[in-house]
Amino acid sequence: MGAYILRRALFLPILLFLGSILVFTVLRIAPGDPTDRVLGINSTPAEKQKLRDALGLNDPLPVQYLRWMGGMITFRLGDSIVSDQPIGEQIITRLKVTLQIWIMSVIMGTLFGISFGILSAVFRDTWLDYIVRFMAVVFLSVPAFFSLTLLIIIPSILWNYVPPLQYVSPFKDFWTNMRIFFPPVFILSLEGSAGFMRLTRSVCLEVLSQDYIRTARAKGLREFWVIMRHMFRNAMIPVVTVIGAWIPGIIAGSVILEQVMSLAGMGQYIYQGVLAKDYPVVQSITLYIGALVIFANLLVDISYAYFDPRIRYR
Amino acid sequence: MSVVEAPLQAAVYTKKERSWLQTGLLLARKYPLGTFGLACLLFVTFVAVFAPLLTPYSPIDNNFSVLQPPSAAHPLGTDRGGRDVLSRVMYGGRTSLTIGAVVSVVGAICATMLGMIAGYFQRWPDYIIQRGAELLGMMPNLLILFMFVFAFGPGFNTLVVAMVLPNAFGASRVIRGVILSAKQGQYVEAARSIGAGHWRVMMRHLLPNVMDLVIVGITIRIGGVILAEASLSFLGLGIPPPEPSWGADMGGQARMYFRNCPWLALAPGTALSLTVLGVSLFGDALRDHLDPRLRREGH
Repeated sequence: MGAYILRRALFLPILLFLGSILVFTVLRIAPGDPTDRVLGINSTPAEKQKLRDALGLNDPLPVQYLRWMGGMITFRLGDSIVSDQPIGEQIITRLKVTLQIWIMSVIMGTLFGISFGILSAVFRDTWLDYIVRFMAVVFLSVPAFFSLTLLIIIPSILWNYVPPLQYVSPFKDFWTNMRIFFPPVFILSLEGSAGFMRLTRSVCLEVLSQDYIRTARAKGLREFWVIMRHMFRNAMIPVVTVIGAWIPGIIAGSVILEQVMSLAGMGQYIYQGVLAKDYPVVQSITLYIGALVIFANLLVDISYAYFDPRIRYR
Repeated sequence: MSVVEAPLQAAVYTKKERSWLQTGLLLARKYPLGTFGLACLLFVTFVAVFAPLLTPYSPIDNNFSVLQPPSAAHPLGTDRGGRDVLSRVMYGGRTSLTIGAVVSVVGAICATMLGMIAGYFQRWPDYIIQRGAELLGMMPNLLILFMFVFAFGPGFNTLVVAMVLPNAFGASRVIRGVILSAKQGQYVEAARSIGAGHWRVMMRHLLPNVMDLVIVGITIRIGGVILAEASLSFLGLGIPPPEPSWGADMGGQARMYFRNCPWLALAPGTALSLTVLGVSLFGDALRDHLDPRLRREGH
């Protein structure tokens, strides 16, 4: 167990390094000079040269890479080349919005996925099962930007309702905050939970056909306790691992959500960075998000190994 | 002897008797949802292919009849450029289906090659491919798309490359697993011993083992690919504007008119959802039919 965690943890810096090289090279092979964007087409070569010097774009690539890495670790990320605002400051203000979306989606999505999955397994081949399964396929097919658009236009046409436009911290005014965040995150996590629900269902069905479930029933245990004690615990082990695989989906979902609901979060920041060819913003945030996903996956793997003693550590 | 042979012959005879139509009907009865999905998919393909014959309007040229509500002349109304929404939805199917088909077929070919090389040769090619898969698997696909759009600009080719890469590496793992066990088979050793080269062994003897997996892989991925293209076009980073695309028609400037002209959002959104629904229902049925082992993948 200890050796397994150690090996995974040692592999982590290698993955991060490869990821950073990937991000750095892909963004540097972009054709066109980043300074054109800032100075306009009518700028003189001398002006361009000055800006390139200021941004450090004239240094050799390895030097640029190392400077970027140093900044990533010490959180001195420099300024956005489009808006001149420090990237670090922007990340801190925007992270509040995005973190709330992520946390709420994970909690709600897990809850929906697991409960609907169990319901549909326990009531297998009844109308309830069919409805849940059909809804899961529908949720997988309707893109988030469509359902979120409907979420805005339907209440606005029917009741002239518009959600609060200004971001409010949940610690200041919880209800106003929920009016902004709850409806879209609810829709997003319903859609995200579809894959989850299908997996929970098939795992539960497999567990339900085991001998120990029959034994539990045979000794007269109530069906409710058979499900809660014997099925639930065993079924949860494989389900937990999917949370890790689901995190990239949540991140992509929050980019769309922030765009549709016009929330100033990290997703919107990186999206606007791509539109404006703001390479310092794009490279830093991409790598931070990549690192976050890698850490989250490591945690999930370790917890998986911890909860299930049957797993052999490779 | 003859007593033993009679039922055998009878069995073979009845099996041959079934025409392809009967087989099709049997399968349709076994997988009603899959049949519905296939019907959706065929319908969308038909409309997309014959769009120029089905609609008199151009999906791209602007005119003055802007933002008209649904009428007999324009069953789904017109958009802010005066373009018939139904025509744009019909032509938009071409974009979605082409992207879906190209990415999943190219992705499947690359995945098969990578998986076979990794599983057959093992050692360092295996190591490199596995680490590549891990790395790309950790990156959210949307961020990979963002990076490629940043570097190469939005467009069809950028989309294809940026989606094929993670798909190919991701899918190669399953294929590698099958090849790892298949290469232990005696027929591989036999083929090698009579002088077959590595390439021939892979193509003639190992490929048939993974063919079902590859076909299922193609179908279950199409839906995700279509959704990814639509999401990216919605953000204005996919197919560039005048070209009809279901995602692009729901993003950008068009959003200002949704409240007063909801058909602008409903038409492409419904078409997109129905197409993806059809593809996933058909893919699920195909997977159940060809390879029930994959059911646990969850998605």
